[in-house]
Parts: sequence; C-alpha cells; structure tokens
Amino acid sequence: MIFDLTHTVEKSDDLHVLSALMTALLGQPCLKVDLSYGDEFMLHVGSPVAYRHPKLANETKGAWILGTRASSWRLLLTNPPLLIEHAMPDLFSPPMSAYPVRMGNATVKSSEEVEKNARPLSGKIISGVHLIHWPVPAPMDVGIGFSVDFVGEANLVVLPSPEPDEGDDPVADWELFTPYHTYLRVGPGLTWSYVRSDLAAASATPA
Amino acid sequence: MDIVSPTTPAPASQSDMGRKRDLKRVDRVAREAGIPPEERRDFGRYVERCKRDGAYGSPPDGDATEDELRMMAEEFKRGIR
Repeated sequence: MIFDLTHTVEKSDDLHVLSALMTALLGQPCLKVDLSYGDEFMLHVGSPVAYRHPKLANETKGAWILGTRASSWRLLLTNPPLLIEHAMPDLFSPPMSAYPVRMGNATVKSSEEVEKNARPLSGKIISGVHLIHWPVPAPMDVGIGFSVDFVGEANLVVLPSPEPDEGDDPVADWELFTPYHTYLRVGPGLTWSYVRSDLAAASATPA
Repeated sequence: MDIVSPTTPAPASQSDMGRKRDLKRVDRVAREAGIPPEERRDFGRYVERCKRDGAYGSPPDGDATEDELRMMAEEFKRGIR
C-alpha cells in the first residue's frame, strides 16, 4: 500500500490505516521529551526544527511531535531505571485515597524535573509502535491508546482519559504532528482524522 | 481491595479531572486568536515557559486565567517570525 502523507482523511475508524500511519515513527530517533501547558506530554521525534517564537529560541522541536492531549501517560526509562507517570488510571477499586503517591519512594515531580529525567531518551531509536484498545466510560466505551518502544527497552504508554468530555468540540485523546503540515487527531472513541495542521481550526478542512 | 478487570474502565484519577476543561480553554483562546493546530502546540509550550518564569498565576503551579491566556496568545502571535 502507498500512503500519501499530504492527503487528508476527514474522519475514519479504520484502525489498520491508523496503525499503518503510526509506523512512520519506526526507526526514527527521539529528539527530546517536553511538557506543554496542561501537562501535555510531547515526544519530539526526527530532525530538530527551530521554533518561530523568540522566547523558545533556545529550544528545538521534532519534525514529528506525538502529543498526549488529555490522555494519561507512563514513561519507563532503563538507565537510570525510572517509572514516570501522569494521571495513569488507578487499576484498583476503590481508588487509593493517597493518590498520587502510591509507593514509599514515589515523588511528585515538576514538569522541569520530568524533562530532566527523560533526557536519556534523546537519540534513542523507536523500535516499535502498538495501538492499545482501552476501556473508557460510556458513551465511548473504548478508546485508543498506544505504546512506543525504544531501543534499549525504554517504553512510553499513552492511554485515553476516562474523564467525561462535556459539551461540543471534544478534546482528542492524542495527536501526531507531521513535517507535512498535517496531523493525526485520535479520539475520543475509535474515530480519528488526518487533517491540515497549518489552517486555523474553523477552516481545517481537507486539502 | 478488588482488582478491576482490564475490560472495565478505571476511574479518572484526581489529577486527571479538569484537564479537558483546561485544554478546551486553551483551544478556544487559540482558535479565537486564529492560531492553527501546529502553532497551538507551540503556543502550549510558550504558555508553559511563561508559567515557569512566573509570568502569570501563582508560580510554579498556578494556572492562567482565560484573560491571561488571551493576552499571551496575542503576545505569541506578535512574536512569531
């Protein structure tokens, strides 16, 4: 199959095509991890690209950016071995009252500390990308998460948030920005779109 | 304590609640300012950097008000090269 990465898809629930699009990340190096406002986790991948705003002149971003939006995320690092997570669903019922400190040695990190701890991921090659079906409350019932494996056994898991989405214009579970002024917008639920990223939202229609 | 089956939705954690509301607020401000999605990402990073600098709210963990976000959106647009 041939996928034209400049061709947009307004709406789809074909997870085979979504999975194929995600394979674009395979073999590419992680540039860095950073956090955006609202605790959005951003995995920057591929060649470094300059920001256009002078306040961000001392940083670069990846040609590809995988961002979590409202999803929960968990990063497993191996050297040093660290498990860093944000808002991962509590698999115990009822939820632990002591959340978010779950272990005796668990600490709450600032976004700057998370970025500092994640620096060893820079340069690591992505060796695997897998979609995850994850149960969420009705009416969606199921959402799409993913895992990204890195050479050296580091691993990122992103899961859709169970938080109810009120009102119109629901927040996507996660997004993948490409170097081609397009982006994948996945969720809520099993639907996704692949649309222009360089047009203001009200006019983000297929090219 | 019962373990929830992987087929059962886990409850939202405390740190998860309200995030969609915050994201929608940023999205709304960016949309009103005519900031497209790829620059909305950059705007989010810009706001995070402003937050760390204590440029608004109650640093280091204060959230911006919608008026502060609108002001930053205008500053962000003016600064883009």
